[in-house]
Amino acid sequence: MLPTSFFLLISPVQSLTYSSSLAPSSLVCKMNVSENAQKLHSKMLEYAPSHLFDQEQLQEMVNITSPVEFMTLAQELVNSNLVKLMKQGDILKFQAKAVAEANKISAMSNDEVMVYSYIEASGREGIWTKTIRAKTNLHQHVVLKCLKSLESQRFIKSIKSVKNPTRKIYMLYNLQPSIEVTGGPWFTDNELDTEFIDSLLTVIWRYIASKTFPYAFQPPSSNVNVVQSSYPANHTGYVNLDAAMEFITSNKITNIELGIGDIRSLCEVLVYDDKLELINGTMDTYKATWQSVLEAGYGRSYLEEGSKYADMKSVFENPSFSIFENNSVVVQEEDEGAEDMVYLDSWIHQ
Amino acid sequence: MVALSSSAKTQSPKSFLYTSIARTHVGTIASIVISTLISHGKLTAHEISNRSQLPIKTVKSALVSLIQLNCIYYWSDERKAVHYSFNERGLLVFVHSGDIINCINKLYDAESAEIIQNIIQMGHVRVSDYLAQYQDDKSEKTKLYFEQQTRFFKLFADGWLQKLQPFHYSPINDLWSKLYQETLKQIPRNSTTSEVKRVNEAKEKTKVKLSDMLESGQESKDLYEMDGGLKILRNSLVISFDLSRFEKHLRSRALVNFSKSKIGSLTSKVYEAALSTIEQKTADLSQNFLEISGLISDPEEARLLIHSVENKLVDQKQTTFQARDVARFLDNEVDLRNSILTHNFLKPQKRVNSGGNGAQKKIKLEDGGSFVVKEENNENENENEDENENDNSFNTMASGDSFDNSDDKHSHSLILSHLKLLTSSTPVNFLIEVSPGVFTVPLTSLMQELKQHNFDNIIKTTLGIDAFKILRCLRMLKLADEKTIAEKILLKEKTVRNEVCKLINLNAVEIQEIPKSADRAASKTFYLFRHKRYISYLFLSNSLIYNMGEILNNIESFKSDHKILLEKCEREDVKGNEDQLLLDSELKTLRKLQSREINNMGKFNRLKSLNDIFGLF
Repeated sequence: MLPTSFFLLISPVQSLTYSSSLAPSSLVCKMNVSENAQKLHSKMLEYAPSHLFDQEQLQEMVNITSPVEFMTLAQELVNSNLVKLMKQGDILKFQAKAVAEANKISAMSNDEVMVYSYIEASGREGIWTKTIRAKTNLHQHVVLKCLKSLESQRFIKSIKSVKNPTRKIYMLYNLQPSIEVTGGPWFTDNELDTEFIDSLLTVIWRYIASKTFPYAFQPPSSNVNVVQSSYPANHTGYVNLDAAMEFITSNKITNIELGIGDIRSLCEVLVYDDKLELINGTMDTYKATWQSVLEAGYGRSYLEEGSKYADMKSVFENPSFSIFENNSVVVQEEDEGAEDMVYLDSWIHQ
Repeated sequence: MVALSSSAKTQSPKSFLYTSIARTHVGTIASIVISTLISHGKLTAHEISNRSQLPIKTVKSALVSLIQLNCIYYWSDERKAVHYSFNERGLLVFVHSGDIINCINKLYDAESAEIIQNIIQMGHVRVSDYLAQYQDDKSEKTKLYFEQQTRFFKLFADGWLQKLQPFHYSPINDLWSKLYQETLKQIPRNSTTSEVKRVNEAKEKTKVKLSDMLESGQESKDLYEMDGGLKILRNSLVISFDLSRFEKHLRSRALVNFSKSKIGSLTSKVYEAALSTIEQKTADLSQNFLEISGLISDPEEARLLIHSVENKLVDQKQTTFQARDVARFLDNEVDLRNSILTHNFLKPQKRVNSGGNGAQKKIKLEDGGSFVVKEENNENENENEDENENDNSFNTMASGDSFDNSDDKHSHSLILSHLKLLTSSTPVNFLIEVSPGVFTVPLTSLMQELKQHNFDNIIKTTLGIDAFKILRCLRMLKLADEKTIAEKILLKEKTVRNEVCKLINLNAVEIQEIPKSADRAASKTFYLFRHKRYISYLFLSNSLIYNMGEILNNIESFKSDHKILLEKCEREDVKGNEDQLLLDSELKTLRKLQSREINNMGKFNRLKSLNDIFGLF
């Protein structure tokens, strides 16, 4: 049970909001706290920075049984910004703060502390200036002044969100923006890096295609049929996401860290592109489509005049028209003018 | 001078194409009659004359030739008034004519193609009349006569020609309603059966009657006769070209092209052979009962009907085949050897070359000579070890078959493995294995895949790769906004918006509006996109048909620009002596006109083969 006296503990921000009698100069740094308080603080710092302590735990640390005595000590630490008060459910918790951090806050104005605390609470997501204004209830000028001052001291930084590119969002200077804010590995300077994506797509397709049609990327050998050599229908050695991931990492294709989910997104794009297809009955194993290999130019050199495979033309070439063979070139008569052109949408534009 | 009204072009793309092709093949009067019939449905000769402003005599003579060419149905009602209506099938034969003749020439020979060409030109022909030209002066049958007789028999047996029957000239709806009314009258009304039950009973009975009628006259004794111990076609038989047989061929062709792009050229050749084994026996592309208006209105019932026809043929083993059937139809040029990768592929070349003879090893002798030993057993052991070590290695076949890659280029095991590729190597099932080693083609479900892939590729070639990706992504997501699409296909939202706009213009994508405010303000409204197959395919088919009509008109117009020159060439004295009687410039123009016409006809046929997929199947 918490003693009633604990409700008297006042956090600096609250005290600044409600009591104007506490001037910034009255905020004390660590040097001014008592020995016991120092001892408690150093013991708290031994834990992880995010660790939350409850009252009993802290009382045990410094061997204080009396709640009143402990309250004084805690108030002292809270006043000097060395401990932060938090509420977890209905229970009051304590979190230790580093001395440098405490000094930093101590040096700020009251408004700045308030703004800073909200920015800090927003973590890696960042907070929009409009939200700060609404939460702090401060005037826009004041907020802007605080933000400017905090930014100049390199306590906070302004970032751009991929989702809301027009909003001005702030976060602590030492934090990395989250994936939601930066857009993940596909964004460079908040712009979708299509060149990077395209090159990765090509690499992955080429890797999977070489595993699906190994002969297509080698000079023809005597033990394969140049027209078509496929793995049998029950072949199982196709590429799964793990293998693709391994290929990307082991060959150091990129220095940007990619997760298995990112590789999956890339493979899905290739599926939409009809360059890969999922193997029947699997969730993450892909093979390249034959059409994609043909579009990459396979077989064209075999049909050229003088090639030793030129007599296979009848098997390679299709006497009937097929939209799938759109890579074959139609020779247009030079003098064939525009009057012989037909346009697919001419029916609606007649 | 009579002219075709502009409504022939504007009332529908089909009307534009059919009137254009009728004008080039049968003449302007015929095209006006067809245009009038398309606009008004069923008309008597007088009504046609009134509506088209043509004299009744002209209308009647046009009707005769159009009926002869199967382009018009006629039906006389109880009052003996004859009503004429448009028969699309007759004009479709003209649309496909070039393709048909080319196909027969490829499958049979030039003489067979000539027979088909003549039959298409005349609409129908009596066998004895056609063969009479091959008798000599004393009415003796020449050698050519017998050859042609055999060709007729072959073409008829393969289904390209059909026996012409009176009901071929009647609209199926009229035939149905006549039979139905007759049947209904025969079922008395009584208090114990409800009217609904009576109507249903009449429908079922009429269905049987209609089927019997359509299948009548197809018995062997009606079609064939014996001549000197040889089975020949009855000389008295009147025959016409069977378009539905050609449509089946077109379907096979489209499927072969599809399999070629999905799996590969050799598998597509195997598929082509497999399809030829069953092509003739498959169900017609259009079902008579589905064409009768009001008979089957529930889409589920229609689907069941189509499936029941397909399943019945499979149950009767009409449309099933095995690897050995395929081998008989496989082109000799096709070499399947080495087309299925075995574990040998992953091994060094020397082992492959050593084949079944085992590795050879030279052992040096003390006297300086050497002898060769075979290491068959050791080699096999090594191979087994290698296979175990190598993660990439795989079993040759689950069934334990091994590929004899060296001897038979059409070996059954190779054909079987290609058939297995068609069954399960891609998400599209080109074949289904109904029982071990016995396959069938799931035509109905394949048609959806075929249309979808062809549509996607048309989008890819016309709108580009980004639109293609968006369309495929949208099909997967069913309903999505541009933000979701952009995230899925990793494209910029702006690009997605531009491409979606293009897709909307081509009716490939439609918009769903989700208003967020009471006044449905556009700024606050959210828009989602979706792809609907039926509407998209219909729009594309109409656009393609319109383009085909445009090409025919274009050919017509540039020919009329050089009318004088072309008429000059047609003169008896000029024919054959063009080089002497025409100027160089005229010859040059003629050549140019010819190449222009060929190019345009090429385009026409390409468009036709695209439209076949969306219009016919």
